Amino acid sequence: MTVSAHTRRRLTSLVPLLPGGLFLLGLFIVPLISTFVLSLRPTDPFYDPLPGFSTQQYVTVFTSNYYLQALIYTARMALIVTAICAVLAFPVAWLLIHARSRAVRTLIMLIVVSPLLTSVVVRSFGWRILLSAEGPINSILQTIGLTGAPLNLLSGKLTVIVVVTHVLLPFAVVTLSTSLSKIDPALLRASSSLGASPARTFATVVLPLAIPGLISGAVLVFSLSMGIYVTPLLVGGANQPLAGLRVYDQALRVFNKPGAAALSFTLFAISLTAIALLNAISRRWERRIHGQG
Amino acid sequence: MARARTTRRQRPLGTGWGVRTAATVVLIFLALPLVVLIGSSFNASSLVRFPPQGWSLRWYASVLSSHDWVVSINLSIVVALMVVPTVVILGTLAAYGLFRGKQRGFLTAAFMSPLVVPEVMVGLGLLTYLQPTGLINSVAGLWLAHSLVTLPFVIRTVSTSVQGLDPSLERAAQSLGAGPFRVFTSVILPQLRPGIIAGGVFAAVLSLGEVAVSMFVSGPNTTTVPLRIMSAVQFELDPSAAAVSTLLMLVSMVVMIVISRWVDLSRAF
Amino acid sequence: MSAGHVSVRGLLAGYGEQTILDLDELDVHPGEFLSVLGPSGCGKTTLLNVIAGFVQPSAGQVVVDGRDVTDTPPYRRNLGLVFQNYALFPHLTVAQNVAYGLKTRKVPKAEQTPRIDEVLNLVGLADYAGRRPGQLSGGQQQRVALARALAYEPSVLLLDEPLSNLDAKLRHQMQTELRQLQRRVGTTMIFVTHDQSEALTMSDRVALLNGGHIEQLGTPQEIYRAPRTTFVADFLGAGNLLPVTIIDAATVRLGDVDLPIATGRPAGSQATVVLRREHLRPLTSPGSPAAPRAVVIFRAFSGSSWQLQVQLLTPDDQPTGPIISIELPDAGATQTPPAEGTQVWLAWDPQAAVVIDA
Repeated sequence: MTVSAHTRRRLTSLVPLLPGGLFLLGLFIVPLISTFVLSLRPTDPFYDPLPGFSTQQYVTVFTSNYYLQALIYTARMALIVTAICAVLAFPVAWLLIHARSRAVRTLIMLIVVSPLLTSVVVRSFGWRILLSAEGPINSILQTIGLTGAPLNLLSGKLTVIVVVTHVLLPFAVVTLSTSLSKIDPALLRASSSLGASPARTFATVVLPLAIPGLISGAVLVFSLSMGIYVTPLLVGGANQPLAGLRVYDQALRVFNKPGAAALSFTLFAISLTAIALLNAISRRWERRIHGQG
Repeated sequence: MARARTTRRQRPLGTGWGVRTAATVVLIFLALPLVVLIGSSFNASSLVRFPPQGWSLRWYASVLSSHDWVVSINLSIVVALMVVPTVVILGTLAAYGLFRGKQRGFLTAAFMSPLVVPEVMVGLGLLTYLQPTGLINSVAGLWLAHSLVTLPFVIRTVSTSVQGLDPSLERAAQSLGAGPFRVFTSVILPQLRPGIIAGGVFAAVLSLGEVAVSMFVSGPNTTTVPLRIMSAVQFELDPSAAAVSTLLMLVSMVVMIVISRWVDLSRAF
Repeated sequence: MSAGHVSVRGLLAGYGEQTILDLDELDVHPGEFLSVLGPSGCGKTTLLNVIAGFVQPSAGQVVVDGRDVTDTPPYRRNLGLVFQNYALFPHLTVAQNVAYGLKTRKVPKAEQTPRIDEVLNLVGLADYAGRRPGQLSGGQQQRVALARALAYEPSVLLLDEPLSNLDAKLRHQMQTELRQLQRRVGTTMIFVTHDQSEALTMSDRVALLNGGHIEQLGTPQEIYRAPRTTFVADFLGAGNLLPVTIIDAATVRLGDVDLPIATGRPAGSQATVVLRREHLRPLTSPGSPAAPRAVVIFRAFSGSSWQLQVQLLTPDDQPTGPIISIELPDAGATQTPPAEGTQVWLAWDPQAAVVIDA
């Protein structure tokens, strides 16, 4: 049997993918599969996996308050954080593209991107100092007179939302700015020449055309929020009802790996559903913009 | 002809004071914790406090002479030095295979999939899988974990260069008698150099700061810098952790400024 | 609809240290079609952007219909703008694009629809109201852009090289259509272009810009037949610009060769004589006694005309004098111009020679 030149060429072009592919297979795909298998194992009272398959872990995830509450709380937090990031990212992303001075654009880039290159531990540490009982926020609040004694700012829903937003905002800014840069500046001038005020131009021209970029940023922020755990661990403590924290807790403190596996796959499934939904919306929107509507 | 010259500033559309104020507020929000952290690392007293009570570099000296911190710094650097060549080779080959010519949607998504999966899950997977092999709590384990996490970023950075490859240069080389390997090393690799350097540097910085997956594969003998910062934040009270954090941040910022000359960072995400 | 009078005074515009535009005055008459012509970098697009309001001048005034709009933002100037790349909103239909300017002026829905239909009819795209820009050809997008800018009946329309992206044939067609449309609707149009034949064909007047100044402003015939500077003479048409020294009242010297041209200038001075290619004729027998002799060194057929190059004979009969270009309309296969190598005598209408400062 002779292999045709065409097939041979196609196979050869796949060769560069082999090293990386094998690497990913061995260190990512296979472990993921074995984790999934682990999530299907029943456990004894000491959380050791027993042979055989059972849905025990998933049942626990959906019936036990410990897990379920965390999933709902995390999903809600992720939605709020995503919405806030979408709004906050806009002015920064806009200026990043349209500021006239190169120095301003570089400065914005620096402030936005360096957190991405800095360990999340460092950023969370900064918040801890900022929000501590002796920290500047508390001092200011006391000086203004809004409170008598220092407030415990290191726990609570609001703190989690603020700090997670801070950690993920750079992602939103970067994806949004890529999308904004693709909007033809002539469209903005056209809109203005037709009599639209800047606010109207934003609502009728910029926003519709920025939706795909906004959605891809939202996808990123949402899925990262669902699994986030290091930051909440440092700011707020391990007892918060966050899914990522509970996975970490079950895996490394309680040594209940099957339970942790089941919880993590569930939260992954929620993320994937949201991603699929958002991507579908984005695709429909893009079709509208590019002429098949 | 002499004329009165009044300078009126030009305003590009949409950069009115409203946008600028909003952006400034958000940017202050982004910078605030980092500024606080840097400031408190110079605290003369042994409290982690901002604003600092007195200015001193003692914590920097203390860190650099502390055995524990030095061991961690060495470990992080060693791991990064192992990770970079690994992901650069794997990533460059993968980017070349994926983005050259026809774009393969499914395979590209597959190679990017570690980014889609929550870090807890990646960590858990590695923990489950590597435990029987004894690679937990080992340098090799960290090397593999960091390589996995940074590989997609390198692929993305190099892919921008791959998409900018000039096919006419390859054809010229072939017409002059160069075989595929020679074409790759003498024509393609040099064109990919900016993306490769940026990707490698990016991977090094990400590895230095990696913590979410490292938590699952490390142990008492493999405490990287971020891991040590984590326990220092939770359990100790002096500003050494702040000093180390500031140094880490400095490295990241310098790196960012350097590679932003070559690569459009907004494409790396 | 108001008159459509635009006047610009003392305009200085630039970026940083660089001055791009330095215009003393320009008055655009109501209802006229004015082309702003010039090479790239001459400031014509900047002038348009200043009038539209996208660029703030560092000095000077822009007045539209008696209203000083220099400090008015673009969305309040009530002008119409047609962009080079059309700038149609990709996410809106043709009808919605056209309606945009009506919506911003809060025209009631009931009045919008007939107006949209009317203006789409005007540009011949009545059936395309529901399409999106991505589904239209370049020429069609161009017309939608025009319709959109005219929908709210602005008194002045600014057009920034709107025909540059069209292929040659479509371009010629659009030139005629645009001009006819302008005459029908009566809107003042300020049309920026770098194509001199386009400017001459379409305009009531042409303003030729060079380095931010108006080099000459006049009707197409004026600036073509009576250029005031070498720049204008060179930019418009393909002339022979001859640097000569005046010998006497009826003769000038070009290089070594004497030409029978009356300049009315003092002997010994320098000047530039413009002899357009289409005004010269190569004769095979001497016409007037002073007709300069030349040898045909190049002859090519280009469809509707012939392109020739002739080299003047020096006083000692050497074919090493200056080279002159000639263009002859084709008169059929039986009347081909003299072949290469033939000796000819040059003739031209003395009125056609233009003398300008050197």
